[in-house]
Amino acid sequence: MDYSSSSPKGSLGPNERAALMSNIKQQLDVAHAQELLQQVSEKCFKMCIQKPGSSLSSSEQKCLTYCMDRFFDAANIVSKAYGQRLQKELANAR
Amino acid sequence: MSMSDDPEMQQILAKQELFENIKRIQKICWDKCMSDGVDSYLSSRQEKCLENCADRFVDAIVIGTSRINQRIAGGSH
Repeated sequence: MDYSSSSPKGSLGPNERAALMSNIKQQLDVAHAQELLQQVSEKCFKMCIQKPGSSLSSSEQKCLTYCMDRFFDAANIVSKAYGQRLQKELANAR
Repeated sequence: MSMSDDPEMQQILAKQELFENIKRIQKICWDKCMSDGVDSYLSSRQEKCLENCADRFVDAIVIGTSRINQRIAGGSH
């Protein structure tokens, strides 16, 4: 993507800037999703697969499914608690 | 206006920092609170543990920050 096509060298026109911002935000969202996926895979593998067999047993499969769902439940609880606490700390700091 | 002064960029960086913090807390609190395993729902013990864990983690950061600041203010000795 050419970000500098219609502006002086070293600066961005408003259209290019908007496009760049949008691109950055999108890439960050993708990166975040990938990081979360890595984390949930690791945690749930540790929890559910004690002895890797030649295939996934049905109890392992069930555990993994529960684990992935519970992981996102947990993430919601943690984000909410963190957000509330952050607001409280910022309010105290004033 | 350079990128570092741009309020939209500031917002992006703040969101990134928030994500990193939540990711860190999630990692630690999952280990602490979910050691008894998963089911089709989170137990109330697990939910409470996760809430407390996030809160206590922020306590740790707040205390750590103030101690570091005290050391910096007191000079090095």
